[in-house]
Amino acid sequence: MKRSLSLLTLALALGLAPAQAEKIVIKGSDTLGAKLVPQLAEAYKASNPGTQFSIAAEGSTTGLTAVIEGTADIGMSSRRAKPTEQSAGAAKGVTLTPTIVAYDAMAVIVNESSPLKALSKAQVEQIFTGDVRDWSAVGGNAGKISVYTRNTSSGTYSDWKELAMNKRDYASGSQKMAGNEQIVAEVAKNPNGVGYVGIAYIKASGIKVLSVDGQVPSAASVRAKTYPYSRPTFYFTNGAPSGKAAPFTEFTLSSKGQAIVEQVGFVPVK
Amino acid sequence: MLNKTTVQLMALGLVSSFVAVANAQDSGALIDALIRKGVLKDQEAEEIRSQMTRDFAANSSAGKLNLSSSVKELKLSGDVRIRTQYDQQQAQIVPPNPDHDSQRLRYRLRLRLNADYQVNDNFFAGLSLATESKPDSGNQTMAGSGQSVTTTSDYGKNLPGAGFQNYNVYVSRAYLGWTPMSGVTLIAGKQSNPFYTTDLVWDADINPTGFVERLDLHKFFELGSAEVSLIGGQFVLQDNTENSNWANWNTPTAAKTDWKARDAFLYQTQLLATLPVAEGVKLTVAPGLLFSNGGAFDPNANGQNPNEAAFSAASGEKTLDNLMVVLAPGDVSTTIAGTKAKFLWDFAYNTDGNRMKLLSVSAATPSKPTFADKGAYLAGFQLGENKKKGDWSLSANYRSVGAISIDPNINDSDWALSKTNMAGYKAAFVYNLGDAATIGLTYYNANNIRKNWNFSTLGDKNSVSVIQLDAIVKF
Repeated sequence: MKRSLSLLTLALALGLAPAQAEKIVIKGSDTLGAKLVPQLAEAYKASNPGTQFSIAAEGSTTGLTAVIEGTADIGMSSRRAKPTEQSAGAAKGVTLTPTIVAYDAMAVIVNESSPLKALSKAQVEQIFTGDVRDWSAVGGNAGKISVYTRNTSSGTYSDWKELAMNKRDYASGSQKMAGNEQIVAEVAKNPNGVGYVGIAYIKASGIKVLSVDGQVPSAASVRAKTYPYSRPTFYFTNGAPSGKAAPFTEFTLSSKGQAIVEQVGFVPVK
Repeated sequence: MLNKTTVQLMALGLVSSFVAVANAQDSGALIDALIRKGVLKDQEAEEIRSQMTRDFAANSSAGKLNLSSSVKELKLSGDVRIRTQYDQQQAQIVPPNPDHDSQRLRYRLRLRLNADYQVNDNFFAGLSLATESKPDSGNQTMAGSGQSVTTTSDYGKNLPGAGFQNYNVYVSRAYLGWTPMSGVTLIAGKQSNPFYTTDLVWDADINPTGFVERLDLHKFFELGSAEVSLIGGQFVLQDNTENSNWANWNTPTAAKTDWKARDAFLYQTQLLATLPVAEGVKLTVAPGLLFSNGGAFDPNANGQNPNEAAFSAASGEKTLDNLMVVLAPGDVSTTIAGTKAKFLWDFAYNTDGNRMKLLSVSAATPSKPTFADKGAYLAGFQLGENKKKGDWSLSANYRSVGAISIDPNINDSDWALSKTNMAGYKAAFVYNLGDAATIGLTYYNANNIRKNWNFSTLGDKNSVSVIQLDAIVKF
């Protein structure tokens, strides 16, 4: 009898108890986490039943911090890790390691009613730094320019300063938005609005994409590296992807995953 | 023929060696070039970048600093000064008092630490720490003062300020500021002196507390090569309880005494203009107005001066309620035989001085203030500058400071030890032993304007001489 009870207990523990679902925790970039990674997660779950995802897209900084603190398996980031983040990681035995999962291009968008079609890189810098505050100075209709930017925890916020603004500060009075979709929404409402969004968001209604130095953001211009505001996007892991992060990273880089990358609007790695 | 792996390894070596002499932040362009030439793939480049960033973080002090993401720039600076000072002073001789003089030799040190932050959205803030609470001096006298230390005791380690006791550190600046647009600056808190000035009116150590607004007019109007700014400052000298009747409040039989006091403020406005007047010659003028409501001078304000000098309410002597001082400092800068040269001046006139009565030796015969009592001026020059090893500078000026001309709370604490009713000169020579290390000798000598004249503690010296030998290292 006693032996039967022991076997029953073992059977419950091994087989009859509910299966512990594998949960992959992903935090970080809104650029990646708003659309792309959730769609990749859905596709991954379809072929890996039982896998669960926790995705929080609150900015690249939060993703890198989460990997350092061990609260995420993957940190999504639209920017590279800073020395201070690498240093903080090293202090905790974490080696922040990037894997390029897609390419992005940051597009300059204006309201669809704007007569503008193109800007130079110099004009873009002037607009976002506040050197130019009226559209008439860059060939548009007279009107005070309303600048929309991402918030400071966003990798795009710092990438834009580096790529488009010569590392200068944003114009005083620029309005910080939580994500790409919020910037699109505001620019679509404001005839004098201007902002930057990832390439995955440029097909929204109410906005218009401007060419910069004659280049428009596209898969071809990103691959050819002719569009000035293109950048890689990353999964950051502690060392090379391993454990739960490895199969999902592998899936993201697979042909199926990269097809989703393209479908969402990013430029595939391969 | 080199294979691609070999080329990549060479590229990595090249980049790494570049990093060794520069840093990871500078090598991005090189990696980008290698990508464009097909030597590196993007993922390989990212791995190299990441490794370099880790190396930078691990092997450089800058990489270990973890600053708030809002900080755009942090400037850390400071200096240590070791000073040997000898001063000699003779008091006014007021019969029947005998003459009185004193000599003093002191060894002093000063430490200052500064941190100035530029943060996002055009805000800035900063702080400084210094080794003295007095606003016009960061000095601490070595081994304190006025304490006797013997070899048979414990070297005075239990006596305040004596022996090898450590020194307090005080907050000498704590400010925040905002530049809402180019050419407009607003600052609040304890901050560096925002005005163009000489040490006739403002001691260089004083960081006034209050509010400052600066408008750079040349950024709004086309003024050619001229730079013109309007600067306003509202500073708090002393805070008092404006109304109270607490005296005798707990003694029902005693009469209540209403107490009225006022805060003391100092306001200053200045129009600062710098303009080229000839090839290599620049003129700076900064007319302005300084107003103090004089709470600090008024015994009824129940307060102490920030500095030791004060008007007293001696019999027959009116206190100075207000200062309304017209200011006109300026300089001409040029180069003479390859050496920087500056000719500077300052002028101050207290238009409120007529309200004073000045006591002569006899308290029964107060006299009317003269122009010399109400006015102060300085004229001098500086040759050379102190920016790098081997640099030198020689400067000298003469000044006259009338008894009621300027605010003795804020004037130079070294020249005549801050006293008014004095005239004399200052001469200094400073030599750079290194780019950030100087040694300097300064001599001050001043004699009274009104002799043997009983005017409280402000102008109570017949003569003051000071010699200072300074060694300074900045960092």
